[in-house]
Amino acid sequence: MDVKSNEIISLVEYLYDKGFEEASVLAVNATGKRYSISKTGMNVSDDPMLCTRGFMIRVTQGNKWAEHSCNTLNSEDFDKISQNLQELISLNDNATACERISVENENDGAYFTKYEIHPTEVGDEGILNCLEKVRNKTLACDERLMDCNVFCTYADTAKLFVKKAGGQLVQKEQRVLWMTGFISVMASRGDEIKDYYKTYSNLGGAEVLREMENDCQSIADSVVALLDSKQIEPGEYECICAPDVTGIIVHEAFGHGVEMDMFVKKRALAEEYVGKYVASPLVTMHDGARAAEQTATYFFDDEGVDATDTVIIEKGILKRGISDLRSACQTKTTPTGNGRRESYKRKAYTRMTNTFFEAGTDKPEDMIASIKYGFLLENASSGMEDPKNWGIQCMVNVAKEIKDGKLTGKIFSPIILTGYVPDLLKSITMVSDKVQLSGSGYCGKGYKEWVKVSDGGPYIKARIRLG
Amino acid sequence: MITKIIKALKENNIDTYRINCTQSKSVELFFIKKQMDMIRSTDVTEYSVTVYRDFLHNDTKMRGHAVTMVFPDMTDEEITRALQDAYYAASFVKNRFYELPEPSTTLPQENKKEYDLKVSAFELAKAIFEADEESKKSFINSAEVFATQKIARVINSRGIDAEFNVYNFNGEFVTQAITETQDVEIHTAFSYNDPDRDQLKAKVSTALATAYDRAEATKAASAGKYDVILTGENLAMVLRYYTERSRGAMVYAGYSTFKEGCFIQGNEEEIQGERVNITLKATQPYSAEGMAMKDRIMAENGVLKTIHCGKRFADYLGIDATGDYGAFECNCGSENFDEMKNGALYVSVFSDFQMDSYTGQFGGEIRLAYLFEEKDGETVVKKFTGGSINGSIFDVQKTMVFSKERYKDDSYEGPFAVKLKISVLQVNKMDDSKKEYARIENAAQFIREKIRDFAPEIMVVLGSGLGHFAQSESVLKVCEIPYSQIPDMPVSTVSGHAGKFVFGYVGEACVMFMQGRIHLYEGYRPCDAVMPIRIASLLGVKKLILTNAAGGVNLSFAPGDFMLITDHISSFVQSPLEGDNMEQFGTRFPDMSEVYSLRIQKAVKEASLKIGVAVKSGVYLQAPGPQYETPAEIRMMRSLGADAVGMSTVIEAIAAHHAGIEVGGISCITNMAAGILNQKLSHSEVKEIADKAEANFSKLLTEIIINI
Repeated sequence: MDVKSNEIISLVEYLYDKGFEEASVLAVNATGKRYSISKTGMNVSDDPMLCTRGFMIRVTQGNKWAEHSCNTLNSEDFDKISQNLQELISLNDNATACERISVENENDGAYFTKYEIHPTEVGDEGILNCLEKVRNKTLACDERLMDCNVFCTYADTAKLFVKKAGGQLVQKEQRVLWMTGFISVMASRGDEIKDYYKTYSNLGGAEVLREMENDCQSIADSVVALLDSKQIEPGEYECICAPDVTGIIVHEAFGHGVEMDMFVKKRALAEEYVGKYVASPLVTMHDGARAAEQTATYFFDDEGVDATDTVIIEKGILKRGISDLRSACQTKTTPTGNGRRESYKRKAYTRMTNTFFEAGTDKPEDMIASIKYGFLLENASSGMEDPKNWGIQCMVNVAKEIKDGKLTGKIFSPIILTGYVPDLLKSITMVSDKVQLSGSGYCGKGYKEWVKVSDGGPYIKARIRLG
Repeated sequence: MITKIIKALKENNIDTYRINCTQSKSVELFFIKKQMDMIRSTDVTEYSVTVYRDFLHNDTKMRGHAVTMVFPDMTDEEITRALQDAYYAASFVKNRFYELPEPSTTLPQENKKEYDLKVSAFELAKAIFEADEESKKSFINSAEVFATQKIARVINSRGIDAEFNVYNFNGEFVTQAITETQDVEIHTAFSYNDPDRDQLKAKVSTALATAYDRAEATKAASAGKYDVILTGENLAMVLRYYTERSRGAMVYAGYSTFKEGCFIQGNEEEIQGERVNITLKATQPYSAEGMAMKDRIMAENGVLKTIHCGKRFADYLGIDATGDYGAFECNCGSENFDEMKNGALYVSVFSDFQMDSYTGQFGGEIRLAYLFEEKDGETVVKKFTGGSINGSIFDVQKTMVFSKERYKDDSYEGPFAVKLKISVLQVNKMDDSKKEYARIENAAQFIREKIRDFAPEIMVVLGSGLGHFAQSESVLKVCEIPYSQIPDMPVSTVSGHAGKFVFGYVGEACVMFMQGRIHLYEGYRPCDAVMPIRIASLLGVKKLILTNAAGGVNLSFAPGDFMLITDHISSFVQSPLEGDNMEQFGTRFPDMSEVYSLRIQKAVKEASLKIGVAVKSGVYLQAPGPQYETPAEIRMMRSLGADAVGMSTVIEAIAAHHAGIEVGGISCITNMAAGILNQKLSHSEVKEIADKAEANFSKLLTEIIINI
């Protein structure tokens, strides 16, 4: 890793020797670039959220934890850093309880993800040419298209974690490469602009660009169809959710609800439901940086805890939550490796990674055929969690009408999907046999602290309130 | 570092560039209730360098650009490589030529105040917890406070060198209220350019009161048309449609049809409400491009005065560059908030209110709304939660009415409230009976999908120790579904009750067997215990045979006897029909004079004669259980007219009769009730006798099923 590992180890040793019970440094060296083309022009830029280089320094003293983030590190500054951290600790005269727990598998190691083609091998010209080709091909599909916005992003992130506690020094290193693509088309109906999009993502490199050329016609057709869309009659309907909508439900409905820093604050209803049915027995839900190979895959989290595959719901029964290190200490549970930071500049919170429902046995066509009147929901755009009261709100772009087991061709848009999480999850009666994950989006904690996540699952059939 | 970057730019013949340097320091506090969970500080300096490259493409002059990040610990070689890579990339970025801005001749608006970050962060935290101390009904669950100072410097190759200092004091807090029935929270964010502790304290106090109101709200407002009031940041979100659509990039790309001088609120002749007056607010002295920023009128009486954008889109559109604006001010209106509220639905809190400036759609799920209604000359306020609104700016912009009262945060200043006519208030939360019906229908649908073409006409509930029948040779089994697989289906927890539905044929009859029932004494509600009966009703079942193991109360009975149930006594258990009536099943006050069908009773008697198994008749009484009855209770039951007693059956018969299902019942007397014989009662005895009676029971039941 191209960071000053010797200086980092020296700093950790220095802080430990100053009497802190534990000292650790997370060093990040990440390149991240974004390419885009639309009517507003072309753009190539380092993505300031992904392209970062700096250090997060943490010390603990009993239940008091303090952190300092910076992006220069020289041995002559060690004393200043130590004094600053000592002052921060001393300013905390009424700290929350937090009992140290031992973390297993604290072994040194170096880990790297695989890829076929590194984006730098394709080069800026190659990537822009590819995007331009996709854009031109899409715009040629239908003259009613107003614009086609095509972009892709990659991040190549190297992290080094060094910690000293109980006299033991641990050093871990990882490098993760992912790439995402996005095609969005727009068409107007008077002042109203309708858009439809498709996303692409992988744990890997520029091979994602190959997939983008295949969907131009279907994306163009989808936005044109939206020009005739109607507003839905509010009500509760039998729905088939496409994997992207399943993903947003998984993420918003239960993912946020089992973040254990919310358990500590008594902000999550899920805490009281561990061991109980919260979903249909057809539902098994995972989260974990090692649960799938997608954009939220890593080997250790931003607190140095090894990544895992956590089964959150097993056959409808809530089994456990996910945690960052402090919330694990506070709930006296084993940390699940979900302590993530927006960047080295921000605090670690319990965050989701790759979150999804397992596959079932049904075929999507049989699921549609089983509906007398309802909707096929596609193209999820955003969602908001409510772990305290298990409310869910998701915005979905397209609801395709199903009558007597067949799609009628009628489209309703936009759709607000709302409901009470257990009602929705318990109403799942069919689950398709293939899982699709999408890692093109970011997840916020409230309205900030954005981290890369993937989510998805199979097609699911459920009763859902639409408005 | 800036000298290093400029030197590297020159050495690489990069003549056109912009450097943005940001030195950022912060102090960050994280609280759970009043205790600190974490304290942090940051000290980070970053450089973003944009390099420009001019070239010809199809004889058109182009200016490509690329942005690269430079970090303080980069070596000279690393800086050079980053700049060269960016310059190379810029040669493929085919954007029409435009000029970079020159140094401004006007002076920017500047905030010269200085704050200590640690002091300010702790002062703001103190303000939050002072409000918390003053609140009696709700409290702060958690809070985060960020005090940040940014020193920004912009340098470009045309001579701009602007430096400015910006403070931001932001964060969030969660207010929580717990009542006897509800435990709710409200999430609130704040962001100020000065550490305004009074404004924050007021905001926290409001949020604390709002949390309590939300805890008192339990139902959603009825669906319908309302005058909806939106306030504060939600109102700002609606108005942001106008500031977004007047951005140069939106106009240049054709996403917005706004032009200077156009009326931006639709058809001017249709305007019945307020015309918007919007001023773009400069929140920092210089734009990211280094242009001096000042407040500008964007719209006057609904007419667009300014399209706002940086130099590139300004050149493309042939207008003056203004810099990009994020904050705005809007004119206040003519009505007092108190007047506006009359008859209106004031949506105070959404889970996540959104405005899509492309589609013009806005909406969100309602967390708290107040409905103000006039009743007998007085205003009655009702609180609601749930449901959602989904509106379009194109529908509401003609009739907007703004309040006189003002609201201010770091990106919006203007009317506190707006009244909009929104034609549809979306879906209500279901009432309990609808919810229960949905639960049953949902489970029935799950079963339908499993049994597909199999259409059960008869349901048989197999009591304690009698469950083997479903697995016997009398039944040609089609499929079985464990209760545990069915969504929201209660699960039988009693030994001797398998806990599954078995579907199969007895002769030609399509039968649904319930192998294991749901008892009240397991802790289930009556509606849970009768859920299988109601599921059967939705699956099309028309006839029900209830069987059970019962204690003989009638002194002429003996263990092993069968009793045809002719009537029941339900007075000792809760009715399954309590609560909102489910009209889908039956009427509010169902007649109970013939719960047990005389036709089925006749069929049972005929079957008994045919196979030579004696069947007695009598009245069955359901006791709550799980304890067996005392001798005194048995004497009481006998005096009330009961012949047998058990812990099931009656509520199932009531629910089935309510749903129009023809009911028959047979008890297997597995023991004599307490006080009759000189021995204690046990569940194993019940099962043992039932097992012994199994052969006769099977013959009898088969005959009954075939003949009803």
